[in-house]
Amino acid sequence: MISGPIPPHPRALLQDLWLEPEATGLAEARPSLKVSSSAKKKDADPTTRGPKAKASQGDLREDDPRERPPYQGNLDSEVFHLESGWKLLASDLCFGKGLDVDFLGMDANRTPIAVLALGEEDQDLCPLKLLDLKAWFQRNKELIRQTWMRICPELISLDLCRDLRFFLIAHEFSPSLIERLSCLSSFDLLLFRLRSLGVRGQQYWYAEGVAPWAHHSQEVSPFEAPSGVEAELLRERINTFLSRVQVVGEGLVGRSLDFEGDRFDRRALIENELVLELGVDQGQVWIRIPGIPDEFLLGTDEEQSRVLDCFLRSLMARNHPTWGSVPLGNSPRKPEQTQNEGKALGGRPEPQPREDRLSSSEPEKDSPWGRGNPCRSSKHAERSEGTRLSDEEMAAFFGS
Amino acid sequence: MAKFFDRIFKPFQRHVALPSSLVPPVVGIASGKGGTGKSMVTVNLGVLLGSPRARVRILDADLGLGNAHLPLGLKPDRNLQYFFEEKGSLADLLQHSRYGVDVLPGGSGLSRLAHLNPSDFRRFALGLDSVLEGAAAVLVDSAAGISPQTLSFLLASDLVLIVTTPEITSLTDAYALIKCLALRRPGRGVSLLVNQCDDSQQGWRAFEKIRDISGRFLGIHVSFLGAVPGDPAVRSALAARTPIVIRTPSAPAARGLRACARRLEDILEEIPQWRKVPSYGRRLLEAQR
Repeated sequence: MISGPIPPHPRALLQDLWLEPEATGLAEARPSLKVSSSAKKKDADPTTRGPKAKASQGDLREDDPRERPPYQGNLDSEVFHLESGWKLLASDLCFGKGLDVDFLGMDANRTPIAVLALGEEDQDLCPLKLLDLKAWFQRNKELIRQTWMRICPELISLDLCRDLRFFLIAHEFSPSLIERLSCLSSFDLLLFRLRSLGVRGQQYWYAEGVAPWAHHSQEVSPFEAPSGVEAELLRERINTFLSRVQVVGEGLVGRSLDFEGDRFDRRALIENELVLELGVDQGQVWIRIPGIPDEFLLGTDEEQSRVLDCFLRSLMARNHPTWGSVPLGNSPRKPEQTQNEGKALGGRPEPQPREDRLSSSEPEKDSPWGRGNPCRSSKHAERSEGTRLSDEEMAAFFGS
Repeated sequence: MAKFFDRIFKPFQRHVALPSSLVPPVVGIASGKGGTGKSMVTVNLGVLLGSPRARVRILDADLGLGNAHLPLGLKPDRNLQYFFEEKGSLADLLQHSRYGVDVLPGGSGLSRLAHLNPSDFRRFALGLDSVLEGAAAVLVDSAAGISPQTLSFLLASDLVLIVTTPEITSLTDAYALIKCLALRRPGRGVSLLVNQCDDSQQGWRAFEKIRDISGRFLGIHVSFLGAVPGDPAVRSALAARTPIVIRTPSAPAARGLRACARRLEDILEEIPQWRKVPSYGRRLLEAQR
C-alpha cells in the first residue's frame, strides 16, 4: 500500500494533488485553486515544516514532470473528494506564529474549513493548534474580513459567522492523538488517513475516514451503526460467533445455515426459517432466538456458549419433518423406516410427520417461533391471504 | 462525510479494473402513501453515496409522474415518450448532475406510461441494462402505492427501502406495501426510513410498530435505516432545486440523511460485487411474470 520506501509527506502530496489540477486533467474542475500571495510570508523553517519547505520554496507548476518522483505523475485528486460540496479556496496561510493552515476551504454551507496535513512531527501539538486556530478565528473575524479577504479574494465567499471546521489528513494518526481529539467534543472535526494503491504499475492515492471521523456531537444517533475501529472489532466478534453458530447448527440439523442482512444486523436461516437474529445497539451485540423470550448479549466465551446452548435447544425443540427432531449427527430418516423400527421394538409409536398434523382439523397451537417465522405456519398463511389488512392487523396498529 | 466508494477505493475496482458485465447493487425505494418524501430521500442518498468517479444512477420508476430530477436542478428536454416512440435509446435520456448522480427521468403527466403494456415494459426493462451498466449503485425511486408495475421494480431490487412518516395512515400503508411484497416473496426483509419525524424517538417508535406487526403477522424482518426529522430547510432546498445535503449540510434533516446514508453504505458493502445474478432488467421481467 505504501508508495515506496519513504512515503511522501502529506503536505507535499496534497499540494501536488490540489495545486496542480492541470497535471491530472482537473484544471477546469477546480478553477478557484490558487496559491495565495500569503504563502510567501510564511516562515518556512525546514526543520519543522519538513517536505513542505521543499514544496513551498519552488514553484511546483514550473517543475519538469519528468523529474518528479513516480507517485507524482499518477496522482488523482478526485479520490480526495472529502465531503460533498467542499471547495478548496487557498493554501499556505499563516495567521500568526504557530497558526499556519495548509489549506483553507469551505463546505457547501460556506463554513470555513482548515485542512491540516500532519506529518508525524506535527501530531503532538495538533490539539493545541486546533484550539489556537479556533480561538483566533472567533476573535479575528473582522480582521479576516478587512485584511485577508483583500489579500486572498477567494475567501470572500466564506460565511464567517460559522465556526471553523477542521479536516486533518495524515498517513497515520497516533492513538494518543485520536484519544486527545476525541475530547474536543465541540469541534467539528474530520480525520482522513492517506492510502495508496498500485494499479497496473501506477500509484493512486485516496483518503480514508478514520474514527472519530464524524465527530459532530449532534449527529450521534443511538440507531446508527458504529464506525471505524470499534466497528471492525464488533464485526470480527460477530463473524466469529456466527461461524460457531453455523458449525453447530449445520451439524445438528444436517441442513445448510444461510445468513442474510448487513454486517451489524444479521439473520440466520435454515430453509428460509429464521433461527437466530443478531444486531448491534449502542455498541452492544444482542442476539434473539425465536421461541426464547430473553434477549442475549454477546459477551465472554462462557456467555457465548450459553447462547449456543440455547440456540441448539431451540433447534431441537423444533418439530420439523426433515430437521430438528433428528438426533445429533444423523441424517433425516424416512417415515417408513421409523415406523418399522417402532413396531419391531414394540415401543411407543413415533410422532407423526408434521404434514399430517397440519392437515388435521385440530387448530395448530401458537408457533414457538414467534415473530421470526416467515409465513410458514398455517396461521400466517391464513392471515396473509390477500393484501387487505385484517381486523387483527388494524387493531395492532391502533392498539385496541 | 467521506464518500462511499472513495473511502474504500471501490472507484478503481468499479471503473478501471472491472468488466462492464458487473451488476450494480440496486436499492428499490418505495412508500405505501404518497408525499412521504421518497424522491427527496432518494436524491439525497444518491448524492451522499455517489461521487464523480463512482456515479450513482437514479431510476425514476414513477414512469407516469416522475420528479426525481427536480431536486437535482436538472431540466430534461426529453422524456420516456421519446424512447417509446422509438426515437432513441434510454441512454439518450440519462441526465448527468454535478453531484455524482445520474438520473433516468420518468414521464411527467403521461398516464400511458404509468401502466405499460407487457411488450412496452419488456422493451423498457431490456433497455435499462445498458443505462445502469457501470454504475456504482442504482437507486430506484418507485411510485407510491402497490400497483403491479411498482411491485415489479421493488421485487427485482437487491434491497427494498420503505419511506414512511410517523402518521398512522402512512404507517398502515407502508405495512400494506410490506405485506404485498411478502406475499410475492416470503421471508425477504425490508428496510424502513421514517421521514418527517419530530425527533428520533418518534422515528424509532414508528419503526418498532412496523417491525413488531410485520414480524407477528408476516414473519418479515424489518430493519431500521434511520429517522429524518421534519425540517423547513427541506422545502427551501427543494425550491432552490438543490439537494439539502449540499445546500444546508448542517440542517437536522441533512444530518439524519447522512446517518441513513452511512447505514445504507454498510448494507451495500455486504452485497458482493461479483454476483452471479441476472441483470436488473432481466430480474424486472422475471418479477413482472
